[in-house]
Amino acid sequence: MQGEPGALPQERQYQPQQQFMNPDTGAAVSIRGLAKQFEGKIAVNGLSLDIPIGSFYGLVGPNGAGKTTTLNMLTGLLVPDAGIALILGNNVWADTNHIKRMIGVMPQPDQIFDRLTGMQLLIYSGMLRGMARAEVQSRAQDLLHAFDLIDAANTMVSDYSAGMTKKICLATAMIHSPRILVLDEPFESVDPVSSANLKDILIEYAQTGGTVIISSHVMSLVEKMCTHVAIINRGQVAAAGTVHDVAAGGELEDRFLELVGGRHQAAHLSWLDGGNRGDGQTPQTQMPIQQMPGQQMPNAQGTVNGR
Amino acid sequence: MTIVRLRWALTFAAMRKSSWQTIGYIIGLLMGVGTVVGVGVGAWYLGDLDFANGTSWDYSLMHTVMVLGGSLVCIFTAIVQLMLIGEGSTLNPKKFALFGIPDKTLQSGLTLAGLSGTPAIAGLLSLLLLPLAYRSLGPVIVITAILAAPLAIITITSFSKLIIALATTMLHSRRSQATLYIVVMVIFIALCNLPNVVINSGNPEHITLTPFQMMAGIFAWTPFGAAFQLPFDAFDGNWLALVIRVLILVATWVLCFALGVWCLARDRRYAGESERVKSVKGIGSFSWMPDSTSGAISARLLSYLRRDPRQAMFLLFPVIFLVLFALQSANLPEMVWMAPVLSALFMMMSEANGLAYDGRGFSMQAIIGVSGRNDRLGRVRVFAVMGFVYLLAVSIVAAIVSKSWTSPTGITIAIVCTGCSLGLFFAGLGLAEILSCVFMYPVASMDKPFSSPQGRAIAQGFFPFIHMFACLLSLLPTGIVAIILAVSASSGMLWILAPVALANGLLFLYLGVVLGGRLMDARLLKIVTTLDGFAALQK
Repeated sequence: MQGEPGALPQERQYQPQQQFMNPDTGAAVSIRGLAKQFEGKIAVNGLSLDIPIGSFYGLVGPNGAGKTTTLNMLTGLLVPDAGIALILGNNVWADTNHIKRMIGVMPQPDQIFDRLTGMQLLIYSGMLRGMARAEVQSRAQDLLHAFDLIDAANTMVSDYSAGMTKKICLATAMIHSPRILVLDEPFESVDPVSSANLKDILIEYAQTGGTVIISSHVMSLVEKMCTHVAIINRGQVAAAGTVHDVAAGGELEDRFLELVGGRHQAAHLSWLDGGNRGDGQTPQTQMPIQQMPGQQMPNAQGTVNGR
Repeated sequence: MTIVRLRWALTFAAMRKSSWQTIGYIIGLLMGVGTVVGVGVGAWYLGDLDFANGTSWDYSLMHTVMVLGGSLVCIFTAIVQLMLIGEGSTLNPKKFALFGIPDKTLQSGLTLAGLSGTPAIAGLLSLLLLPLAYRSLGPVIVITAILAAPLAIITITSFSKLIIALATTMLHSRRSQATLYIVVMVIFIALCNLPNVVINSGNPEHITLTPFQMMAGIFAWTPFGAAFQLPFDAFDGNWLALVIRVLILVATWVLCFALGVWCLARDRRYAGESERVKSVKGIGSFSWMPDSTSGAISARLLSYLRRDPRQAMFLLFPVIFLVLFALQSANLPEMVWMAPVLSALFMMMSEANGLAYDGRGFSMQAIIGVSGRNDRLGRVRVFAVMGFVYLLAVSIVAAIVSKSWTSPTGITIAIVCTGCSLGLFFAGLGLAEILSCVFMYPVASMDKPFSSPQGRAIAQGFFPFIHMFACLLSLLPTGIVAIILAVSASSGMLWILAPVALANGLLFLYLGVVLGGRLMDARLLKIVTTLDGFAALQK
């Protein structure tokens, strides 16, 4: 699906002349000029974005870039200061509850009632959406199977591991077979086996016409799974399009660092010397750090890069 | 010392962050000053009594009151600490886990920090003023009392710190903590009502000092009362007893310290140990509640009520009231009818802050887009049925205790009280559904029912009264009918109050669902933000 053509937005959509263009009613999500500030701090700054139906869309950006704020405004959980958000052609803020039932938003692990069992939580989330009990029960069974949670179906969610909790959260967002799935860091702390299974489920869902929107820090994951990506920085879209287009022939991560900036040389903290205190108590097994000619400490570099 | 400084730095930081905190702190300070002044003035006037150099009845009374009172204050402080302040308050030993501070240093730091807090300082000043009462008895007793004051404060602080440490260390599983929470609350309520029960169940004229003197004699040999007995030992010239009691106190501090250190060590050894996983059969109430959105809410609420010690407490009220009033009704059997009426008034107090008990879990409703009407309906369904059955049962027990069927007046009282309790309960439930969307205050987290989120005490002392006041106000129509009946002297028609109160209550219940639902729709996102804020306070 990579490189799929479509009515894709140009790079740097936030340019003022595009902000108040008509939103695309045929897109899964169409955002124009969305803005939000908290106590004078601008979190989202006139952001515009189109997400085509059937795409697997990744939102990436540094911490505090405005990804979560944007997703909250898109899903009816935060009132924007300005701008418009359409989901499948419907204004989110015109009939919020109706929109909320069309989409599936993955709750954070502390946004669920964790004293219910996994099975109960799924039934709860289905019945809350007005689904019939029998239907919910059979779908809950399927989901528990698909997410390798069937053995823990009757265990309280508060006794689940972090990864299991994440999976049950995702399952609650899928039980009503939504047309759009919105997931904030869905694979965080999920073990590799489960996460591979989840990815298969999500990719299959997108192939059958569902739209998946995920926000993530993990660039390799986005590059591997997503068909499209938007790089968000300082509350605006720095680049958006198919992964192939945005990466522009290189690595997505390099492109991300180039667009977002903020990289600097590894800072040399002279006292952070891994045991070489220089106070006479040093086990003399290592060369002092300054004497390693022309080399940088790989760890220090990695840390500063935030990898 | 660093920990003492940290303690105050944290207090000031919390005050900077929230003006409510500052107000709460100032109120705490005023209460402290009030206690000191009150004790000082009281002691001054007490000193005017004629102690006849230690031989009068007044002297024996004062002696008994000082030792027994001091012991009770000591025990109460520990229980109140458990209930209100909890370990989560300002300094939690777990927060120091990363710094590798030796256990003994940490424990002494925490104890010192406790001693430098406002309550400890206010307590010390009060105890230092207490010797004013002894001034007519000579310098020896006064000086000993002044010296004994810090000993008492150190004992109280060490003891309450130990109680909290033991409670948090020994009770690893959530279930045992929940049980302990309920037990402690029940003991506390029982202790508070002990004087009432003692006075009302027997003949007040027959109460003498002797049994209390015996109790004081026993308590004087425990760490709780020893410090308060010291001045009297000195006055009597009983120096051996004085030395032994001081040794008892010192031994208590050492023991508390050692046990505190042991708790820290144990916490570390068992940190992160997972508790036994319990699985539940089937889907519980989700299988039989109405197949609808509000049914899901009802089922969720019911499952939670069974597992939530904080709310279970409120549901225990009727039983507690019933026992208390049944015990006190020896002289006046009708007294037991207070139980259903007061239960109706108090039972929905927690529901008036129900959303705070839900915590961030409520966010799921906001994510899914549940209408306020459905939410309110789901909650009311559970509480209305439960309360109705419960109050009816309490009323039946009350009728049996007061033998209502034996006289026409008894029957009328039974009918009116039952009707009014149910009416009051329904009105209270309806109002709770409105108020819980507006006046929320932080509650302890479900995992740590003993902890106290910052800023809880103030709001918790104030907001519930809004609900209580509104409840009483909502029954105004019933009240008017009652007045008319009283004025027209038609006491034979009193039974009419029962259906009137019931209709009155049901009307407010309906209004609660409709208005509460609308209010929730309008304030949904604000509610979610508020709950997120409360969750941050619980960490």
